This record gives sequence, C-alpha cells and structure tokens, in this order.
Amino acid sequence: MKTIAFVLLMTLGSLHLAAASDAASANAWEEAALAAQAKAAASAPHTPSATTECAFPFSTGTGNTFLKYCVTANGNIVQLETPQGVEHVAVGTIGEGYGVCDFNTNTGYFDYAGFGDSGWGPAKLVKQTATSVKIARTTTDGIFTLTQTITEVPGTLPWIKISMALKNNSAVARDAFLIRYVDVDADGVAKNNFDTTEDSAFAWNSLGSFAGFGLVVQNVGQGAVVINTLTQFQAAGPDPCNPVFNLHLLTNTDGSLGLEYLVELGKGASTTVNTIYRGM
Amino acid sequence: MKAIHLASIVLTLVSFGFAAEAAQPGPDPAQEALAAEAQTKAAESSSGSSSAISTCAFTFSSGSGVNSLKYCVTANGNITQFEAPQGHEHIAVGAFSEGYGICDLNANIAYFDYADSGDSDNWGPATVANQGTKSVKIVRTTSDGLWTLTQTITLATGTPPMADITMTLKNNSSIQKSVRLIRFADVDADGTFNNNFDGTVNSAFGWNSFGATHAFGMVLLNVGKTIFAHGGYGQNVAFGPSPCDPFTHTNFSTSGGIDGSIAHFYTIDVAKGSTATVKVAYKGL
Repeated sequence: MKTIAFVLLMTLGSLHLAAASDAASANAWEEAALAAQAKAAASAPHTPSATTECAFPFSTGTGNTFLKYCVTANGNIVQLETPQGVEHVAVGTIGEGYGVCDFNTNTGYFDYAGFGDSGWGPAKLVKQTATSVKIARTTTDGIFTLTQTITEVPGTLPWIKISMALKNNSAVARDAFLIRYVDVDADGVAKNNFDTTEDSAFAWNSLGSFAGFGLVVQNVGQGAVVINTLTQFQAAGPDPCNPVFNLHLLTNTDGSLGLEYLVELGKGASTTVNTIYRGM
Repeated sequence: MKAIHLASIVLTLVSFGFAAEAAQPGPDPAQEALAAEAQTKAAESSSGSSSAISTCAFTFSSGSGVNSLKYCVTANGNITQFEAPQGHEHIAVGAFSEGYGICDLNANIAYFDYADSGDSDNWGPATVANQGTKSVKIVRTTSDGLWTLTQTITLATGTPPMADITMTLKNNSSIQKSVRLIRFADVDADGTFNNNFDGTVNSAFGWNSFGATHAFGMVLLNVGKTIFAHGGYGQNVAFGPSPCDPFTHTNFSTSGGIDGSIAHFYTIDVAKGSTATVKVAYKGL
C-alpha cells in the first residue's frame, strides 16, 4: 500500500514535493504535538485500570482490504491499521474509548485509554470469538452498565462495528450522553484535517500530503434518540458532561473526533447504539 | 424529525454549559443562486452530443433512516440521483453531473460522459448487458472502437448501504496502451451548491460541516485491492475533469464553501486485447 501511495505521489509529480525546510518544520511540529499529547495525558485523571495494552487482536484482508485492530481488556481500540501499513490510533499517546454523562447528577464516567479514565469498575469479558469480543463494565457507583460488542466486518471495504448497550441500573429514569471518542493520528501523523456531518466524524490527510489516508467514525444505528458529531481541537478525550467541541472544518490540527448519543433510559432499561470505524 | 432532535440537543447542550463555537449560518441564498446559475450555464455551454443524458433509467433503493440509500442510473451508466440518507439528495441538484472519463495516454485522446456536464461525442451507444433488482450492467464502446467500458452498478445493502461501481476497461487495439480512468461526481451536498471538498488515496468526498445546516455529504471510495496508481481529490469546479488534463482544477487539499466536485483517478497499463478492472463505491457521509 505504501508502494502504491508512493507511485501515486510520483505520478502527481512535483506538486507534492516539499522543500527540506518545510519537512524540518513539519517534523518539529509533529514532535511538539506528540509532546503536547503526553502532557495532556499526564494531567488527565487515571486509575490503575486505565490501559493501552492490547488484549484482543483482530485482522482481515491484505493490502487495500487490510484491517487490523486491537481491543484492550476495558474495550478501548488502541491500534487501528487500515489499509496495510497505515496506522491511525497507535501513535504518540493512544486515545480511544467511551464516555457517559448522567444528566440527573451531572456525573461523568469515561475511559479513554492513554488519556485517562474515571468512574468505572472492573471490565468483564462476556464472550470472545474469532471476529468479535463482548465486554461489560459497570460504573463504580453501580448506576450504569455499558456492554460493548466490537466486531470485525471483513470485505473489500472492511470496518469495525461497535455496539454499545447502556443500561440504567438505578430505580429512577435517567438521561445520559454516550460518547465514542478517538484521537486520530491519520497514517501516523499527528497533524490532520477534521470535520463532521450529522452522521459521521472524520479525520484525514489530503492526497497532496505524504500521508493521504484517514479514518471515519459513523453512526449506523437507529436506537439512539439523537446524535451529535464531535471534532475537537485537542487530542485528549472530552469531558463527557462538558465537551468542548468544534463545529467547523479543522485543518492541520492535532485533534480528535467522536460521536455523541443522547440516551433516554427508564429505570432498569437499556439502549443500544451502533458505530463503525472505517478507513477513508 | 432530525431538525427537531437537533434543536433539542442544542438546547440541552446549552443548558449543560457545553462550550461550542457559534453555529455557522446555513447556505447563503445569494451565493446558492449564483452557483445554480453558473452550473446551468456551464452545462449549457459544455461540449456534448445528443446522447449525453441525465434521465433516470434504473432506480435502486435500500434501507431506512440513517441506513437508507436511493440512486438512479442513466442508460449511459451515469448516476444522476443519489439520496443518502432519506431526504438528503447530493447529485440531482442544479445540473446533474456524474460519470466516467478515459484518457488514452498513448494518443492523448479523451473520452468522457459526465451527464449534464456533457460528453466527448466519441462514444458509441450504450447497451444493457444485464439488469436485476440490485444491479445493472451497461456496455459502451468508443466510436473509434479502441476501448470498451463495461460498468456493473450494484446496490450493496447493509449498514450503511452503498452503490458499488465495477468498471472494466478493455483495450480493443492491437498494442498495449496506458490509460487514465476517472470517476467523477458533481456533489451538491444535501441540495446545496457550496460545500467542502477533499480527497485521500482511497476516497474523495464532498460535505457540509455539522455547524452549518444541511450537514450531510457523500464519499467516492476506491474499493478492494487496486494495483494501479490512483487517488481521490476534490475539484473547485462543478463540471467534470478533462481526462487528459485532470488536475487543472485541484490543489489536492481541503477546499471549503465552494461549488465543487469529486473525482478518483486510476492510471493503468492495459495489454492489447486485455481488460483492467477497478471498483469504486458511493456512500453517504
């Protein structure tokens, strides 16, 4: 795939040849971005449970149909490579995961892997197959249980399906935000473009760059009442109850993206939302 | 329904003190009118034969809600209507322009059919080779007989659904040739002319940002294993690229708020009498 990209860039010719000074500047910017990621991660709350360690690896296809990803014991996707040789998540500080905001109490719960966690009990492996893993986790106060089923969908355009079922274990009805977040560093580069539509959030590098790939996160479910799509100026994950999000096209930014679902839960009830990750 | 939900979520966000930038206004009516007029004029002045059409001949649809897709194919194999999800049209707006182009790099001769953006007047008639409930197969040979393009356009149901386009190009000549094959669409995202555009190695996409109204879009994807040099890009014009000079209207970077279009190109060597196949797909974004 890298070879194809190289041939492509050669085809496009001198339009894409960066001057040496520009390359040095870009490298300095990348180093600064990665340092900022590390600093942000260090300042985020962490429990001993927060991990970026790969527990459940999956892969399918070859070349342009290649998809490889890895899920932690807590249900974070901490490595995502598609197509072959093009990594989007395991770069610098690794950030991917989920957040919940309880409207009733304005309490936030999150696990963003390298960017910290708060409010969750131990994760439990419910089921594992060759193409999927199901992980359940309850908040330390016992109010919510999040059950994630992360499934590999092979094919000519492979993708990852993330099904998140949020259950309200309490005796009162609750409304909540359920967030899926990812710090995209498209094709190993911290500085990318970011934008969203109503159903998708995406990060990419333009064809004119030397890393012209990207990742899209898209809502594909009918279960949630409404979604909001997020892009952030920062690589770190959002505060589930106070996300600072951007509404416009971002270019050349070390940002992140996500989908935010509004979930209305009666007492003892659960709602499932479905999200996919796919290369672009 | 979605607008009501959006309004409710925005109110909820405000009440929770969420920090967001002020939403962009919707499309400027004056700018939209100018873009519509420009598209019409461009279509009227485009090169073309009487066989260039945007009339719907084969309609396909699938799914519901966020996973719905409806599109239409002309007798010549252009997709002149693309609605994804339901109620959000991206091509059948102003001039309906979508289609294919070829540049014979040995002879520097271009062949194209972009529907309302015109055609090169050097294609023979299209014939329907096969038609089913989910696909249509259309064959067309250039009028000089050198190339035959066979398109199979298939509704790929699923979450989300897509329009798959398999393009098989046959070199009918007696020598090996190099060729550039292009797929193009004039995206007018969710019925608006001025949108954002960009491309990667595997995608070209046109969309409106979430902060504005009409925040939908569509993407043209390279599908499967492709051994040819290829890439997606956005154009700063609404009409199709010249196949032998396809990069005139792009700077291979992000463009915002323009009446543009998307394209994906492949550069292929085809032995005499042989075929080369590429596969692309359109889906909502």
